[in-house]
Amino acid sequence: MENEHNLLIVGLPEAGKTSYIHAVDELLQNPPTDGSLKSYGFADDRSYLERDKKKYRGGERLEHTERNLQGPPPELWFEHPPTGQKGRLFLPDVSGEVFQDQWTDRRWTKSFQDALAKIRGALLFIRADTPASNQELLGKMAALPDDGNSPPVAFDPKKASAQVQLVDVLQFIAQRGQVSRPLKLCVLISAWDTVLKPANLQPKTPGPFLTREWPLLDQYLRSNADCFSSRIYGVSALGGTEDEMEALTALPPQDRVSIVEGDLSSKELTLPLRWLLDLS
Amino acid sequence: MPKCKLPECPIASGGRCLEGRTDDCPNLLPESSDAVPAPVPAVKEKSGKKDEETLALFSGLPLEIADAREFAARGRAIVVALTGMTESGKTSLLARLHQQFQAGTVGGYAFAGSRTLPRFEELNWLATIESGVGAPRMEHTSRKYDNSFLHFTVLQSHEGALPIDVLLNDISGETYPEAITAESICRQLICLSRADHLAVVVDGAAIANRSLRHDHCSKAKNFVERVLQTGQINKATILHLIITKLDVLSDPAKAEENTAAAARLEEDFTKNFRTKVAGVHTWRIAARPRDGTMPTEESIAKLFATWVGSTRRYDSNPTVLPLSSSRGRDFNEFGT
Repeated sequence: MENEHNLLIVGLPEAGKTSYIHAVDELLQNPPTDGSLKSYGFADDRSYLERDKKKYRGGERLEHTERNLQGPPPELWFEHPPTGQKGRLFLPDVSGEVFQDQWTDRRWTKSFQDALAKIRGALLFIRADTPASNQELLGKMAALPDDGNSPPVAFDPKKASAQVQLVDVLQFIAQRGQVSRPLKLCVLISAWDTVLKPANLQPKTPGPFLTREWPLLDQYLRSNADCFSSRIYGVSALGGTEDEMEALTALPPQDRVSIVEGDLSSKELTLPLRWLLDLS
Repeated sequence: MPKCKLPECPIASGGRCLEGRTDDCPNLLPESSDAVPAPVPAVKEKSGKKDEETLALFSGLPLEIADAREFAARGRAIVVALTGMTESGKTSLLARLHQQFQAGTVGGYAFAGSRTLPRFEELNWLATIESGVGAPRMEHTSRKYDNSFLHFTVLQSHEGALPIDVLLNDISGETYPEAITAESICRQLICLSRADHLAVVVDGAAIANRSLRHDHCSKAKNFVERVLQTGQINKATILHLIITKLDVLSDPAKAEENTAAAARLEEDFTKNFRTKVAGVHTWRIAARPRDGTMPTEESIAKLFATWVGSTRRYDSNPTVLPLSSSRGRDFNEFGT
């Protein structure tokens, strides 16, 4: 029996979690190099993966994952050619709303807590093209006269800054989840292709990007190295924006994807998984 | 007779609430209750999947004294009490610190965690575009938070640095003048007895207003006199005078007069109290300026670094963490 590996996938809604799972599935079936992780077969139940497979391969935007998805989690069977190791990888595609509910309700399900005890590592998804924090009224914007006519929108925790919500979710995991310490955690910055546009002045490598664009999350991870051992990647699981998909779909899905670690770019979207599973 | 979750609270024997609260004290137990309730158990409630069992996580609300004790017992914990008139800018300053951490380190300290992130976000909400307000606003701190804390854990960047918990006690603007008026109310500010720093926040806009200036300046001094008299602060406490709304104070039309008035208050404050406390610092800040300028982030970062880095409770660079309870002016002394 091959080893079973459970990973936790964390991220707010629309962070790119589902696209990444589909991309990994494609990469396992079509490994970019001889040494890459590859599929050695299919799990008994692939209903979750097959449901949106056509859309993913066709370059369509995937609908957001339902909160209470029934059925078994995506299961991928992989082989690591350099070592001959085989394993089964479970990637439960938890809806981003579940994490948002944890932040809002200050509770989580017992089954979620129990599942944490079995995880080997975690993938944390953030988006490169959305702001980490709500925008403050500062400088000239704060100097505009307030006519008082527009009643403010009442505070809704769901509208809190994304990086604040995610840090709190990580604090829950670190303090209430019975996870191994340090827990290996990959930060996957999705929609990385948007960073590489010529007009984009954001840092072009994932580490500095996180430091500059998601500073609270970056500080939290650096300051809690005893809880989380982290690596940071830029990921493009679709390959481009919706506008670019028409041209991109000339290529098969595994050729559209890209991942950046440090200043190295490749199509090895399984790199984070290899690190989490100690398969170098 | 009401009963309290806190075993040392004298309210059950007819005394006053340990934390100076009224009927809304979250530590009060129903009269029929004979025992301290067990921690929140797992409950079955609607959480998406019907009847799925859920477990409580930490609330995100300001910390109670009992929580603060836990932090103080586990290592280095700095308590800062902020007080001042309503709208003096205390909450804006706290919200600004949260915003500054969202943009990077503050005063050489990195963010390492917080148990009160939802409350920080709520405080800052009316200063965001997302809230739909035309200009930034700030909610008033309720009296119910007089003896509770916002929280950060921070870490210096050097190797081997240990985490430091910073507990920020925001005393409401309503309580501040009442504490000057009545010693009994002042004594209900339990957190002051553990404060490493007392920050008296004076509204720069009030200093700029001749009809308010003298009252606000006098109240700042009177409050310190009151808490010195009650013994709630002493030579172990570092005192800060923070003049806010620097943008209003610096209005070119009255800048000379305003600046002189601010300087006079700073001078008086320093002269009156420097021998009675561990030290006096004066600051001028703008946490949320309305004149088109940006917040004075550098001076706010310096203020924060002074809170965290200068204390009479701990060595400046501890190699072994002293337990808070091994020193005087501890939470354990509250109410006694």
